Amino acid sequence: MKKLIRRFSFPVSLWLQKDEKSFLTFVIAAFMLAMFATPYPQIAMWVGFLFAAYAAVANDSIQTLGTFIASNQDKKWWVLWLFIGGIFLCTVGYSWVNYNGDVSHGRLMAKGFEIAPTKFHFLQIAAPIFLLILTRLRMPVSTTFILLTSFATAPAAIGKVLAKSMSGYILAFFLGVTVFLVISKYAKKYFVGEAKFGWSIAQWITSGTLWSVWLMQDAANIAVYLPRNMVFGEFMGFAMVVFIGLGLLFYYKGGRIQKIVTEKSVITDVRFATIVDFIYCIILFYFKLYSSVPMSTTWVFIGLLGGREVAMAIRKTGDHSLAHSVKLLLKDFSYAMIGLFISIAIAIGVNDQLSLTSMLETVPAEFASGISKFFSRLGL
Amino acid sequence: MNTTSITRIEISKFLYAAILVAVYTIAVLA
Repeated sequence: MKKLIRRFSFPVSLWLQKDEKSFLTFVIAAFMLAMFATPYPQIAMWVGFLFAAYAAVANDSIQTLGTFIASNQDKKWWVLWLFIGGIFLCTVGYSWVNYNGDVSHGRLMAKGFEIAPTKFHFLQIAAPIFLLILTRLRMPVSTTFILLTSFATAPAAIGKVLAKSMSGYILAFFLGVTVFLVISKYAKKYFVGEAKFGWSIAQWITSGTLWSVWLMQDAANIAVYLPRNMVFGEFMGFAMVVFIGLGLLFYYKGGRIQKIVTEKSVITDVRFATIVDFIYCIILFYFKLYSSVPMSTTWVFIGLLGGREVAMAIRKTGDHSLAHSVKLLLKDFSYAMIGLFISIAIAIGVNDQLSLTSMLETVPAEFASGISKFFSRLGL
Repeated sequence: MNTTSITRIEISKFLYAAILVAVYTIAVLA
C-alpha cells in the first residue's frame, strides 16, 4: 500500500497511533462478536447489553463522574468505587423493586419502548460500537438517540424523545447563562488558590446525587436490550456487570480519563465542577418528574457548558471572546446534530417499523407538540 | 541519499469513517 502510494504521489507515509491500533482491534472484534451473536436472541440480548454497558460506563459516565475522578486522584480507588458503585446498586435496586422489575425508573415503560425486543437486528447489537467510534471521532453523540431510536416501535416515540432532549438543551443553556452571569465575577474573585475542604464534601454530595439522577435517565439505554420485567437472576447479571465495570473504571483511572475530562467537560476546578454538577442534577431531576419519556443527557450537558461559556464571555471572565464562545457553541451543536442524523439513519436501517416517509411526517409533528408543551408548562 | 521529506498522515479517523460506512451499508443491504 505504502509503496503504491509513493510510486504515484508525493512521498507519503500512512500510520496509525499505537492506542488507535488497539481500539481498532477492539472495534473489529466487537463487530465480529455482534455478527455471530445476532441470530440467537438470548445471547444477543446480553452481548448488546455488554456493549451498551461498556459505552455507558467508559464514555457517558465521564460526563458525570469525570470531574469527580479527576479531583479525587489522591483517594483510594476502591473508596470511590464503593461510593459510586453503591449509589448505582441503590438506584437500580430501588427501581427494580418499585417498578416491577424495571431498572430504568419507568423510562422504558414509555409508549414505544414498553415491549422488550424478541429478536435483534445486527445494527441494534452494533449500535453501541458505532457510538464508541463516533465518540472517538470527537462527536458528542447522544447515547439515548443512537440506542433508543433503533428500538422505538413507533416514530412518534422518537419525536417525543427528541422534543424532550431539545427542551433539556434549551433549559440547560438558559440556566447556564443565568447562573454564570450572576456568579462569574464573584467566582473569579473568590475561586482562586486551593479549594477549601468544604468544597470536597459538597462535591461528593452533588456528584453522588447527580450520578443517581443521571442513572434514572440513562439506565434505560443499557437496559433496553434486556427484558422489561427482570427476574432476580437477570437483575443480578445486569447490576454486577455494571458494578464491576465501574470498579475497572476507577482502578484504571488516570491518563485516558483525564484526557476525556479535559476534552469533554473543560472543568477541572472543584468549585466550578460542583456548581455545574449541581445545575445539571437539578435539570435532570426536573425532567424526571416532567414525564417518563427518555431523554438525551448529553444534550443537556452540552447546553449547560455552552451557556456557561457564553455567560463567562459576556462577563469577560472566561478565556474566550463572545464571538469565539458562540462559535464553539454552534460547533458543539452542529456536531450533536450530525450525531442525531447518524442515529436516525441507523434507526431507519434497523427498525422495520420506521421508514423515511413516516419519520418525516410523524417526528416533526411530535417534536413541535412536545416543545410547545414544554414552554406552556414553563408558563411562556 | 534521499532527502525528500515524507509526509506522515495519521489515518485512524479515515479508517473509522470507512468502517462505519461499510458496516452500515452491508448491514442495511443484507
